[in-house]
Amino acid sequence: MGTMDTPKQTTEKVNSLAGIREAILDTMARRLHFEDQTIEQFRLNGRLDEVMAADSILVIELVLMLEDHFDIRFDPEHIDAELICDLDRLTAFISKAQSGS
Amino acid sequence: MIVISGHFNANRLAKYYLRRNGYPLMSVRTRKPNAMMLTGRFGVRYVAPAYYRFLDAIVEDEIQLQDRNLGVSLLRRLRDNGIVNIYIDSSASSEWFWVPFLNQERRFAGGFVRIAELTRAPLVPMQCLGNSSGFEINFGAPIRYTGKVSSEDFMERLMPLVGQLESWILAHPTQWELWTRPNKRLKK
Repeated sequence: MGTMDTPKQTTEKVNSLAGIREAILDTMARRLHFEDQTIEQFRLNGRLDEVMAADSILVIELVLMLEDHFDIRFDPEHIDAELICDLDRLTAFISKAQSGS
Repeated sequence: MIVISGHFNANRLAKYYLRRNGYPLMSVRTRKPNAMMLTGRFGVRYVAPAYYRFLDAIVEDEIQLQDRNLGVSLLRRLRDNGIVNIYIDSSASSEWFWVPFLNQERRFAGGFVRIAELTRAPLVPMQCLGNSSGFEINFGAPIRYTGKVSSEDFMERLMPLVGQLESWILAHPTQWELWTRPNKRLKK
């Protein structure tokens, strides 16, 4: 039985918020195989739950994928579905986590 | 770990017992009135809400399937080395499959297998039998997955678990709750 695990991506240290934002979208497209149209809609309106059904499995998958990609850890106290679905908040959160503050 | 069980009568009792002995299980449940409560306006308006108030008062640590924080709550509990309980015979999920079951085709949700794949948490089958006069809890060997498989290969993971549930039901048919629920999950 073959697994669908994609090769582990190298951790990126992206400094600017715009860079992090693009890295999030790029990672979602590559590793979760989101369609271009979905990514574009998410980029424009910034709300994942308005673009697609953000069910519990997807939220878990996104958290784990972003942790792996950005080499960060989502503090259990600070994660909720709202954070994962809001591109601006998510970008700011990752930026803060990367800077270690 | 993710403890997987069926809708057996003793399930809540077993979870109550485990909690009181230091093993709290966070359960996932759907909050929909069952067939018994849908008999008329009285049932819908009074019986169902009273039943849920009763459940809320006695059942701790449940999260509803409709809760938008379900995913992060499960992840949080698993990361704290906690225990999550999910029903094998749940059919509510964005991803579900028709599976041969008790001589029919029945809809099964695959969410718990996907969560185990993603988090690498072991799946531990739990069979709960009996009633408040006496009950037993039987645990199966843990099942671990490495990585996520495609929808086609997914059935190879789900089928043995459904088979396990089926064998529990056939051995103890009077203890499975879902005989009396509406069969929306069955293929017409």
